[in-house]
Amino acid sequence: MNDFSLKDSDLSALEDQLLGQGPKLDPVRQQLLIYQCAFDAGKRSGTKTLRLWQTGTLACALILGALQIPWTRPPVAPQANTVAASTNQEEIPLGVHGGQGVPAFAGESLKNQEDKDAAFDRELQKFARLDPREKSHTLVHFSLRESLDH
Amino acid sequence: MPLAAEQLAGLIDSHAAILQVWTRSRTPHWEDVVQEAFCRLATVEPAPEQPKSWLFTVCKNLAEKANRSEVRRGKRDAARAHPEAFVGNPTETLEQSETLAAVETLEAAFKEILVARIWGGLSWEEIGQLAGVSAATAFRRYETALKQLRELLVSPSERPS
Repeated sequence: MNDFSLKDSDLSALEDQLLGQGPKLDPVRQQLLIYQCAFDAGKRSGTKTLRLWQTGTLACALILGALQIPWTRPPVAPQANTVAASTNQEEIPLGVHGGQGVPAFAGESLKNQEDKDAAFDRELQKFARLDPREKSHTLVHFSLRESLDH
Repeated sequence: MPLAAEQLAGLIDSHAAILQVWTRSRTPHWEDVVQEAFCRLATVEPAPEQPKSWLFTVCKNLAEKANRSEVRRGKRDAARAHPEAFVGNPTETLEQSETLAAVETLEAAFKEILVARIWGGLSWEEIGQLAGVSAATAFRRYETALKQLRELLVSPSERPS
C-alpha cells in the first residue's frame, strides 16, 4: 500500500485551509437544480408507466381481435335446407334459406331450424298430393340436382 | 431502488458547485453537464454505491460527449469564443473567491486533481481512474498543484525575496 501523505507541513496547512473554502452553489441555483432533478425523475417514471399501459392495451387488443375472428365466420348451411330449396324454391318462406342471414344467437338458430323442418314437411305433403306425372318430373329434377351438388 | 431524495439533495448541496468547477475546464457546457449528471443520478437504478465518484465519472463522460457534438456541429470555436459565464455564489467570502480564482488559474490537469481530492473527497485510485493516470502520478500532480497554489495565494509582500 502506497503512502500518499504530504511531507511538507506548509502544504498540509494549505490543504486544511482549502478544505474549508470549497465552492458552494447559491441557494436559488441549488433549488432550481433540485427542481430539475425531481421533474426529470417524475417524467422518466411517468414515461415508464405510460409504456407499460400502452403495451398492456396493445396486448389486450390483439387477444380480443384474435378471439373475434371465429365469431364472424358465416355458419355452414345445413343439408336439409338444400333439399327443401331444390324441390320448390318459390314456396319456401323468407328466412329459411341459408344465405338469407347469419343467426346471431343460438335461440334464433333453433327457431330457423324449426321453420325449415315445418317448411320441409309442407313440401312433402304437397309432393304427396301431386299427380304421378308431376311427381316423376320432380324426382328427376331432384336426382339431377343431387348429382350436380355432389 | 434509486437514490433517496434526501441523499440527492445533500449531494447537490455539497457537490454541485465542486463538479461545476471541476467540469469547467473540460467543456463550455459545464452547467448543463452537471445538471444532467444529477438528473441521471436521480433516476439511475440501482443507485451507485459510490455516488460522488459516479458523479465525477458521468460528468467527465458527458463533457466528452458534449465536446464531440460540438465538433460535429462545427460550432466549437464559436462556443469557446462565448463561454458561459460562471456565476459565483454571492454568499461566498472574499477569501473563498480569491481561493477559487487562484484554483481557476491552475493548469487543467492539476486543477482537476486538486478539486477532486480536496473538495470532491475522492480516493487516489478514483482520481487516477478519472485522470487516466496511476494513483502515484495523481498524488505527484496534486503536490505540484498545491505548490503552485501556495505561490499564487501568498501576497507579494509575504514572498521571500
